[in-house]
Amino acid sequence: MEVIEKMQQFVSKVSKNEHETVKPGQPVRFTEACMPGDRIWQGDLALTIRTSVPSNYNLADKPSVQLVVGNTEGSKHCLDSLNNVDIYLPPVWNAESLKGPVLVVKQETTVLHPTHGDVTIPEGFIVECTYQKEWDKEQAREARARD
Amino acid sequence: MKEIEKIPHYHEKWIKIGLDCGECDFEKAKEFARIVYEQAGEKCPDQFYLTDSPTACAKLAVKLRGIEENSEEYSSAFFTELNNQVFGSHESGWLAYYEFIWKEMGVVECEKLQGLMEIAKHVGWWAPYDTCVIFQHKHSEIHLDDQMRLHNETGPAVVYRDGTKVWAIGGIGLTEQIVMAPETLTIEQINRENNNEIRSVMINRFGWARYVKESNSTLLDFRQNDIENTMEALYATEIFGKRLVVTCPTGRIFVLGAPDSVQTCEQAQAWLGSNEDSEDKVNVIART
Repeated sequence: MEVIEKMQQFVSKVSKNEHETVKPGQPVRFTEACMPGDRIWQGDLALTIRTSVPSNYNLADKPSVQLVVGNTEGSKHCLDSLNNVDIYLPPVWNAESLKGPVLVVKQETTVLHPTHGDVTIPEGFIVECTYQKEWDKEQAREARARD
Repeated sequence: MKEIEKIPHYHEKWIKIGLDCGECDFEKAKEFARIVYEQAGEKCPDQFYLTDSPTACAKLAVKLRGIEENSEEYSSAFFTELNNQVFGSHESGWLAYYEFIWKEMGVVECEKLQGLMEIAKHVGWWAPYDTCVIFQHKHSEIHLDDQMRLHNETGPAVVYRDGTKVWAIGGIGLTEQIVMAPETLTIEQINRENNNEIRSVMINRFGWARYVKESNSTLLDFRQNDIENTMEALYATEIFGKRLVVTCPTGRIFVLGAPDSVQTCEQAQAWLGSNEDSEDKVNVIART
């Protein structure tokens, strides 16, 4: 069987909830034992434990629960509450950014998403949000810069 | 600058004009066309026509030139007349800019464009000639995405009253086949398309899994990623460079571009996630 067919069979099983271990929307959690550098991917949002907030980030004046810029369903990576975290923003944060907010978690908090599993972060962690790079966009950006 | 605070007003006003699907107000259109000609120092003709779409407008203009539909010069005349269409509601972006710099920045030369600004409220594109003026009704349907680009994945993005349709996804103009019947595309059609943006939409709608299979792309690496609960395959394609085909724990397959330098799935994943300047070594512990 070709690799691509094997992969198609795999996702077919997963999407029908027939796979033994991989279940769509399975929640995950950073344990208290996690270390700086530990990362959980929630779709194309990377949540990575850090030791500090970068010095050029500022505490958000009007914080938003949404951690990804956009109106699509895929961009609805949202905090369950604003009460448990301080949100620091990079100098520039827009749909083109590869770096997003940094969360200083004061009480256990959860990042929710309509299709991916929820990610829970225990109290006391600093978590950086970054986004998956896109090769086609990178190339388009380079082409624009060349023009 | 206090002028900046006024931008939302112009933005909202002209977006509304640009998206309006109303019929042409023929009398108002004539009234403001006369002002446009006057402001341009030209004599306004007496002959006015009203058409349903840009194509109908161009066809009428060609007919008025006396060019037969089956003649050799028809096609080039048609596209010339299509290009002769100006302003109206379809150029709301420019008109918003001109009105802003006139009224808020004091660029008084733009006052001469007042007729063009007014006429845009009543017509789609229009074609002003020495001997006649051809107006168009505005579109009857328009669909946009969240970035205000023409977009409809299940039908036309723009429809005119005579049934003329514009097909677009994410602001990229496409054919009906790409939008409505992508499964009928062929590898040859995809590879032959030389506009990168169109080709990218074609392949996304055709399906990457099918593309790598049918185009005999070369499998470079495959791995079962037990930490992330994914299967990953790195392919070298003839046209699109390297592509990491990856399953998602939500039960979908994604295809992600990767630079030529990567040779393995692990390297491709590392590139996709490498946008940090922290010194902490990244250690992926899960994916959901």
